[in-house]
Amino acid sequence: MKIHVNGQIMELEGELTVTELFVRLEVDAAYRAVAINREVILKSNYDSTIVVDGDKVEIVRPVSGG
Amino acid sequence: MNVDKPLIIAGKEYTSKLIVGTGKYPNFQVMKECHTLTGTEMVTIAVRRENISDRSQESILDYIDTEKIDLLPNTAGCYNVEDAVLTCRLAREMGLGALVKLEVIGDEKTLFPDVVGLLEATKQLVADGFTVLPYTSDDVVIAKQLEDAGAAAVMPLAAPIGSGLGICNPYTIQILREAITVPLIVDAGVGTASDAARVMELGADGVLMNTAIACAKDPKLMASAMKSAVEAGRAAYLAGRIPRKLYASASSPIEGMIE
Repeated sequence: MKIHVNGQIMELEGELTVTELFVRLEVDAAYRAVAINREVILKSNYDSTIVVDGDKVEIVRPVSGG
Repeated sequence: MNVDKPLIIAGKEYTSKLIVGTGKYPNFQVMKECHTLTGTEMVTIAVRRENISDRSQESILDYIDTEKIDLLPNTAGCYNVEDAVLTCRLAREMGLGALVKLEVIGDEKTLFPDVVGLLEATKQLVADGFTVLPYTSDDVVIAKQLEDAGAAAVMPLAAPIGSGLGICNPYTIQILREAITVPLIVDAGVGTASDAARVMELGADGVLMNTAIACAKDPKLMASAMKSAVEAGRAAYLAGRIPRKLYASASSPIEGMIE
């Protein structure tokens, strides 16, 4: 399946949960947040939310800013 | 004698009236030292994409002591209500709390706020339980609307972000001081210490700055200067300045002059 992650196209063998996506990307979920198709995914739902073909995923972190 | 009160935002007391940004510093270590020198208890951060391909980048949170300093996520770069609200919800889900500096930008060159969008976003975020600090213009009409909409403070710009122009219109800041009952925090445009002191002399409850410190030739020295300036300006405001007069009023007595 094909998804967008932070503007980049990713090809994956099949659907996966948000938790599994973090593992796959080697990103620590601490101080990160996720939106799929512009809907914020609650951390408590990471294990139960499935990323499917065509999803646009945004994973964000805190950075410097004024 | 006027005894100073702390800056109170949504029920929490802050001794420091200086909120500082985290952008544009030469590096994170200098940023951290500047924050310490300002005595700030709140710093802004931005919300941006994780760098999926380069995992070696440092985390800004390693350079902020969150036991002493609260984080204020901003919605910088958001030009519409939907993006700003989404950014705030992402910030909250990151674990940064429900305090947000709300920016809905209306113009790329000036980075002036789109106050119509700002008001709408404020209403939505307040309804969703956020503590909203809106970055706004110095227009008292929109400031009162933001206050009525539940904003926890009003943050008018003194001059365009990063411009260093100082207070373009001190009269509108004074008008806001008289009209607004939530904390008035002047945000954006401060260029040097005298600007910060002037902001506080006008009666603001706080001042927020980033570029003035981060891009100074000596950021750490400027950070110290800003701490002093905010304290001096606040003390001068509480002390009650003399009125401005057109003509002289001698400081030494006339009587006893030799002939």
